[in-house]
Amino acid sequence: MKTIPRSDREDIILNLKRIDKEDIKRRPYLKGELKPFKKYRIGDYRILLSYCAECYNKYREEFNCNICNKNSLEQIVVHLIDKRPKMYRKMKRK
Amino acid sequence: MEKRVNYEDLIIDLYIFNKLERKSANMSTAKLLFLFEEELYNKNMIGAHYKMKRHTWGPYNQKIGTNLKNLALNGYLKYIENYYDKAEKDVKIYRKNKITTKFLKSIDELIQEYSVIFTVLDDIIYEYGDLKAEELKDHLYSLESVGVAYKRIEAYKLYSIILDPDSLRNPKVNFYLDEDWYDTIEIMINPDMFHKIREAIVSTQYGKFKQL
Repeated sequence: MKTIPRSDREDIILNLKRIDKEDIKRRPYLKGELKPFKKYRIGDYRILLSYCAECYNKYREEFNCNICNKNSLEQIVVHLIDKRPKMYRKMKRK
Repeated sequence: MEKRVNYEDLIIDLYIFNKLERKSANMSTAKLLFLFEEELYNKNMIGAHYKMKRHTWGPYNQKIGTNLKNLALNGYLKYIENYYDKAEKDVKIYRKNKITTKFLKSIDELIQEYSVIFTVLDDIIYEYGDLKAEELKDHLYSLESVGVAYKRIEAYKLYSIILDPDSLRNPKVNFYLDEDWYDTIEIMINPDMFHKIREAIVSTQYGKFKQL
């Protein structure tokens, strides 16, 4: 979050606090190794998150998650926030 | 509007190198890709989406070289440069590395989903994977009927299209990532993002988080 410009950061936090859990539940999971994550977009930012109430029984053991608390599953965990490129960026040269 | 990237082709390129027990340069890889696309075309299926044109050294598409170079620059393949007499220039030669295998293992579910496509690729690599570039070229040029016009490669005009997989109207199977797989691959094939995801997974395992 520290690398995100302040105005964008405030906007993202505001939007995250307003997230509709039903909307998150409707979204599909990513695939393969990323299967516990769901994607969400706020402006140009790609967010990977999981909703504990959904994820707890499905993936907690497989991924050995220690964030979930079975007494408090009504929480959304944001794992990654990244600015999505507008166009395919040519891969970096070393 | 964001341009859609053909991650399918990158996955197939990596799959070839993962199976090959030898190094390979652009033209040699292109010939294997051509044999693969030709075999699928005849079965009304699409795997890789390279439009193959006739070049001096055989069927080729510039994107093959670009893709391999980018995969190597991002650590998904190893490469060295060797002087190649016939081309009178330095040529990049690629080989798989640990990340090639690791990446493909992480998308095994996708490969299984399209096993009908990848089984054909396995057969092509099994039959032709040990041939050197010159031997592959000789084999391709010995074929009587290839490509969209069902003629010998020499009968195609230089730089004309020999094979365009996307010209198949109703393929039985088309290796095409749905939105969820596209989003997943877009993250995983980006080394920075992949590293960040791994860090995120470790954080959840250690219960490290910050409450908003």
